[in-house]
Formats: sequence, C-alpha cells, structure tokens
Amino acid sequence: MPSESRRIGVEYISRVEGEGSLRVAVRDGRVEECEFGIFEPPRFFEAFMRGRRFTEAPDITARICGICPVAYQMSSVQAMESACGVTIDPAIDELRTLLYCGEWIESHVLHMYLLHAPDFLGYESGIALAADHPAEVGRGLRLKQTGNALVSALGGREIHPVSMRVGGFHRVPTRKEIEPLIPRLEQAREDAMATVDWVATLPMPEADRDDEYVALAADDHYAIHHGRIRSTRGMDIAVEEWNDYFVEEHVPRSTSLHSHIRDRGLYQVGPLARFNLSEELLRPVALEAAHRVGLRAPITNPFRSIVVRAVETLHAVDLALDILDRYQRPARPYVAVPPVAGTGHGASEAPRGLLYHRYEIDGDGRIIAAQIVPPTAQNQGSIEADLLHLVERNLDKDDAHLQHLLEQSIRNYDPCISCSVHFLRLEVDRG
Amino acid sequence: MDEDTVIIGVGNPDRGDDGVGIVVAGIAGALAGVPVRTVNDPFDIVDAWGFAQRAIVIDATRGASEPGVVTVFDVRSDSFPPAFPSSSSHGLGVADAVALGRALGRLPRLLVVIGVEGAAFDGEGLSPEVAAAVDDAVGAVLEVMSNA
Repeated sequence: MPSESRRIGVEYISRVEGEGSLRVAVRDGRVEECEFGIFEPPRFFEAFMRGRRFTEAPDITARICGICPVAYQMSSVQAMESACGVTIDPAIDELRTLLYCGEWIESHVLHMYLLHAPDFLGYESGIALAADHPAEVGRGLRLKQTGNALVSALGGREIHPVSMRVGGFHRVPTRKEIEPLIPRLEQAREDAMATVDWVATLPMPEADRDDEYVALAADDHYAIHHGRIRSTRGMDIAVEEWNDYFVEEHVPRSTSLHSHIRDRGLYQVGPLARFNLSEELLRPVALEAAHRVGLRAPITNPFRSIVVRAVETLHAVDLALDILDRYQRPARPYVAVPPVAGTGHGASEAPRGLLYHRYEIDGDGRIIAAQIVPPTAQNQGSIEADLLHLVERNLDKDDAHLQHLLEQSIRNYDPCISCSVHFLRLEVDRG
Repeated sequence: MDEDTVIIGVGNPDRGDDGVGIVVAGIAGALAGVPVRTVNDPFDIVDAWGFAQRAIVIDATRGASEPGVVTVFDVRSDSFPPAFPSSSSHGLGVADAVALGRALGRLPRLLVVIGVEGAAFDGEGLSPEVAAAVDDAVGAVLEVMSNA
C-alpha cells in the first residue's frame, strides 16, 4: 500500500511588518515536519545602535514596531536609567504607566476586533465581520480611539510617540489637557466590559497544551514595566539575570533568533503568561469580569488568549482612569541622567509579551553593545509546538479546515506578522 | 470630530514615497485652512474622518501606474477598486478603511481618495518623480474641495 503524505506549505507574503511561512508535512499519519519560519530581512537594529548616544535609544528602538513603540521606548529608557543609576520621580513613572495603558488598549483592541475575532466566527477579515456585526466592531473602533487619544495626549502623537526620554518625559501634559480623556475612558470601561462578555462567547477550539509561562511579575500589582521575571515553573529572577537563564540561537528557518530557557527548553510570553502569574492582581473590575466568564488561572488553551486580552484591556482602561483621576502635573518632567559607564537592563510587558533590552555604554554615553529580545522571537518555539499539537489532533480535517485552524493558532500570539498571515496561501502536496 | 471637511494623509514619511500622502495633505490643508490628520491602520482612517461631511484621503499607490501619476477616486460615485494598491506596510490600507466605513455606515457624504504612484519605498524623502507630482496632487485636492 503506498504511503500517504500531505504537505501544507504557506510560502510567502511580502510585507514589511513581517514575512512568515508555515510548512507542515505528514507521512502515514505522522507529522514529519512542522515549522513556523520568519524570513523578514534582518534589520540590524542592535548593530546600528552601536556608537549612538544613550539618549537616542528610545527614539531609535521605537521604530522597531509601529504597534508597540511605547514598549520599546520603555524597555530602553529603563535600561539606560538603570545603567546610570538614576531613579525617576514616582509621578513620572506613573505617567509612563498611563502611556503604556494606552498602548495596551490600542494594540489589544486592534488585534481582537480586526485580526483575531474574524477567525472564530468564520469571517475572512475584520471588514467582513463588521458588515454583519456593526455594533460590536463599532464598539471596538470607539475603544481603540480612546487608546489612541491616550497615547496621543501623553506621547505627542498616536504612532511612534515622541515624548518619552531617558529620565522622564520631554514634556508632561497639564491636568486641563488630559481631563477630556476621563469621560472617554468611562465610556471605554463600559465598552471593555462588553468586549470581555462578547469574546467569551466565541467558539473555542480545544488546544490545551501546558507550557512554561514567563512574564514580568510584581507582588503588589499586575506588572507592566516593573517587577521580576517569573515563570509558572518557579523561575524568579531579576531582570539583570536574563542572560544567565535564557538563550537566543539562530535556527535555519528563521531570521529571528529563537529563545529558550537554558537547560530547560520552550517557554512563552504574552497575555496568558501575565494572567497565569498575576491573575489576582488585576484591577477588581477586571478580575470580576474574568471570573464572570469563567477565566481562571492556569489557562493553557492559547485560543483563550483573546479573552485574556479583553480582560487586560479592561484592566488598562480602569487603571488609566484611576491615574487620570488623581493626576496633578508633576513638578518636573524629567531628571537629568549623566552617563555612567556600565551595563543596563530593562524589561516591560509589550502587549504581546515580555520585551527585554540590555545596553553597555561608555563614560561619554556612547552605546557599545545592545541586545533586544522581542516577544515574537521568544514565542516562536511555542507557536510551533502549538501547530504540531493541533496537526496531530486534527488530521481528519481537510486541508482548508486545517489551514484555517493553524493560521488562527498563529494569531493566538498576536505576532507582528499576524497581518501577513491573514493572506497566507496554501499549497497541498498529497504525495 | 465634527468638522465639515478633513484632509487625511496616509503613510510613513520615513519610507520614501510612502510619505507622499502626508506631504500633500500638509500642503493642501495649509492652503485650504482645513484640518489635516495623518494615520495608518483602517480603524484610524475611519476614526480620522469621524463624522465629517467631506473627507479627502491621500495615499501612495504601488504598482498601479507610472511613478508620479495622480489618480482621483470618488468613492461615492466611482466604483472604488476593491484592491486599491495601497503601499501600506501593514497590509491594511485605504480600501479596507473604505470597506470598514461602509460596513459600519460611517462613510462621509463626499469621500475622495487621491493616489500618487510611488517609485521607491525606502529611505528618507520623496523620489524626484514623486516630488514633481506633489503640486499636481495638491491641485487635485483643492479642485475636489472647490467642486464639492
């Protein structure tokens, strides 16, 4: 009897945000190959940072991503401040949290409504979804506008904000400037609550697969840009210890480095990791909403990440409101940061997971070395593990169904190539 | 977001000719005294026209014609090409915004999209062909406004 083989190959889509591919080969009911490749051209950010001023890092690295520039700015300014031994004013630090909340709202809402929800409901795009569900998508639009307004008010503009600097902000808004945001965020809280309830009704494929979940975690709050790096399997390290525990390596199929935990293996970062490590530290309104829809740690089904994103959106909106309610313009926008030769580490929770930066600078403030570990690189191994898990359990499905499930699975991680994989092309070779 | 008219520039000024929409919108807005917005993803484009009665969107096109060619689409009266060859790096562009606005019942009464075909989509600044087309594109914006 001839052997039966199936090959699912998703080759290429040209897009600056990300170029990825998917290859699955099955022989006689056994998965022989399952690779998620990223072949976006290398961008050499770490190399061309060398020789630049340490104060330029936030503006240069912000350009790595148009969706989460605040995360890049935050990790880099915190690394530089730690290298130079400077502590910023608490009021300024809180303003940074507020800016970060805006980014979580913008990014999570775009992903949930336009990129991911259509998968669950069988639409080919967010626009097709909007035609049948205008009230829901309209609510998403309103929510995202509020996230944009928050980033714009604090960052100076919606995309690639320019206000953050080493030591604080170039300028901080007056209370009068930010007050109009308060009623919008009150509306956003209602919208975010409705979003939690809506995404919780989406049909969830079964895909539980335990993983090691890694995130920044703190003892007293749901960590965004402060804390230690912890995992669900007992890791608890300072940000400075990153390279003692994590390894980045080249793999032939990817221009992005793959990360793993030294002597241990795969792990994942992102909403599930944050929720699994810090569920009880969510704002009460968000925790209550999570429990109302049956979300309790540990969550090991990556498809449920959309529900966690909705809960985190509610958390971010509620936290932003709390900060805005108490806001008084800080006395000074930044503290001076004289350069000190040494090494600095910074980590923060980008919407799609932990983002680690490390810099070495000299006494004149020139960058000698830079290391940037983005969340999508860390998640590549887990994305592949999920794909393998799904293929093995869904071999009875035809190629179209299987491809849909696999693409949806990749989007669970909201990778920066997610807009690309919306247009993946499938080739099947049945051998 | 309750202006009568808005001019919307789409693109990234640090990506060569992709920035032409922003350049044209800025000049036309200053000449006409009309608010200008610069945006990227379709949620934000729909947001940018908000509830304005008239919106003019300028974006770079890629692969539609010769570099520097200016094309004017009246979304309400012409059939808007379903695959408007936007140069957006995010895979979601003006055509998606138009479709999204339509799905949500949020299209302005007058919606005109002006495309300027780009030559090079990297580096800083516009290519000579596209820089030479800026005046034509600004003229197209002003003409649309005077006829509306």
